[in-house]
Amino acid sequence: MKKPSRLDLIFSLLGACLVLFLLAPLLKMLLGSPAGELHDALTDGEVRSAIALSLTCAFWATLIGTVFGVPLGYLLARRSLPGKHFIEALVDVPVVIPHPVAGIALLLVFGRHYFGGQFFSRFGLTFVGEVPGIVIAMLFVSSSFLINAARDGFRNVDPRLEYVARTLGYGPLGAFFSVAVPLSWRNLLSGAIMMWARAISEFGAILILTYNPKVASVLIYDRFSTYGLKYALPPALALVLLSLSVFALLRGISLQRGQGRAA
Amino acid sequence: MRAAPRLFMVLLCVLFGLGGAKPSSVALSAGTLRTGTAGGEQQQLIVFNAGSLTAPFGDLLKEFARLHPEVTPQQESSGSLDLVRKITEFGKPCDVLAVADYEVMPSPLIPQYADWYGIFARNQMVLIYTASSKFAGEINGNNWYEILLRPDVQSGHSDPDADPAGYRTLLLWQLAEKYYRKPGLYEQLNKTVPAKNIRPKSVELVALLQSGELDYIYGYRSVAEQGGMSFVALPPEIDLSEASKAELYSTVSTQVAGSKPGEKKTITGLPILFALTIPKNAPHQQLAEEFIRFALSPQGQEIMKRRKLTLISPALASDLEKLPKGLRSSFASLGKGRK
Repeated sequence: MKKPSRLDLIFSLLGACLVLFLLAPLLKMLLGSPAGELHDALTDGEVRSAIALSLTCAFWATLIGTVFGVPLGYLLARRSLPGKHFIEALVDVPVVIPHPVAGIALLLVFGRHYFGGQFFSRFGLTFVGEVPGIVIAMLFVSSSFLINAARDGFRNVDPRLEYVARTLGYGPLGAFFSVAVPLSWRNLLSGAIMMWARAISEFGAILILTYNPKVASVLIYDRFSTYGLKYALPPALALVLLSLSVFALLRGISLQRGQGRAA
Repeated sequence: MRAAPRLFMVLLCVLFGLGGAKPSSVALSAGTLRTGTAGGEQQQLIVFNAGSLTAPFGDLLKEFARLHPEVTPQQESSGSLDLVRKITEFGKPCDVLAVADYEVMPSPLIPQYADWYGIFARNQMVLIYTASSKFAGEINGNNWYEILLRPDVQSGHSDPDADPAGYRTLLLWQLAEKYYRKPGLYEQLNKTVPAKNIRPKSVELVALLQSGELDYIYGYRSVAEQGGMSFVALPPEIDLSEASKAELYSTVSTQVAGSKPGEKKTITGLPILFALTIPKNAPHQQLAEEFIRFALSPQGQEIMKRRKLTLISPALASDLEKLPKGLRSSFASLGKGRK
């Protein structure tokens, strides 16, 4: 084994500090609650349906984000659009907007008196106080993760490979699906995971649009403000463990695929 | 190099975004006030206050810091129960605690975390609306429930389990049923507020009101006045505003979340009173006393009145014996009947 260089030592030390900082609160949460409490949380019907609602709404948000965001990522990577830098910056804005402000902004578009709300109500879709409200709040705050990941992924694919596919008889759409998508698969998947995860964590914007039915983040805060820390920890822990396992599973898949490609 | 223009664009968009959303986000600023830096002689004054006291206490602290340049005020605003939790569960240091619901003082704060409390202002339940609310031109303190019962009117209240204004709405409906002699009025009014019109706190309700999603919301007069919104004042027999009607209010009660999920506890009607105290762990006891003396002085009262607080003067102390000596002249006794 090679002797670690000075850089390795210093960087490991610095990195370890941050890992510890990230790990400590999670560990404290894990060790601080007895197994019984976690079991209680997982068998509590209200907690279960809130977590299920969080996971499914985040899934729908991610699905919508994929359908509309991957094409946008491709255009941003490949075409010189008018106002491209503006669009790129705009995509990042939801990340920095305070979340209640995001919720209010959405309310002013999708409320019953506003354009979006009136348009979708023709198809029987209302947002305020309903599940679709949760989905659009999640979509708003998290889609930039997927769009940026898709854009970066497509940028790494050599356009000449797509030209080759075109010379072999594929149309532009065919080349996109048979060359660009498979080669940037890892970026797309990890972007989708990040988007899904960020969607689950959303609280402030959802609260404005839809309080009932409660997603996990809202229920946990509610438990905290109504009953105190002791009753907020177990559902929080259940949510962290569940999302962590889904996270690890999907990361594992994306990593294996990536290695398969490299080999 | 390319990052710079992009960052600039992001900032630009944020500014636009915030500018556009401003009208509805007025009530959202749970601001912290911090002036100057804590230098050698600087002393901190940590004030925890209920959201509805943010503006009056902000003004009080500003003036107090002007009179005492060595003081650096730190204001922290949130729901009354959250503030109490910060003290009881997190052990956060606090010099002056001012809440919108005096009943958190006798329990859980006294006797473990504080010895006394003083009642200094009162509030009342009102119906808040905007110019574009349905039937805004017609509604008044007598016909309000008839208007709210109309099928196309949307009304909302905060969550009874999460916010006192929520369970006070339920109490108000019961009092209204008695006062107007309309059996079944409580149930009828309860049906006018479906789950989708309930939000945890008044902040979110105000957003729904101002965006036209709701026509009327139940809330405090202080919230309406500080937000510059129109409101319907209700008869004092039902709006929980008068300490002298405490007995009448106590004839109604409702069930809210208890001490753990699944448990319920009974809440009895009480007048809505603002209270303050100096917690036992206050790091700057002397300064806290001085601030309270200032707040209750004619000058301080003038500042609070300007922010539309309905003051109780003189302020009433739960227990004159336990009051710090320096504060005895600022309070009268609350009396034996109520604690």
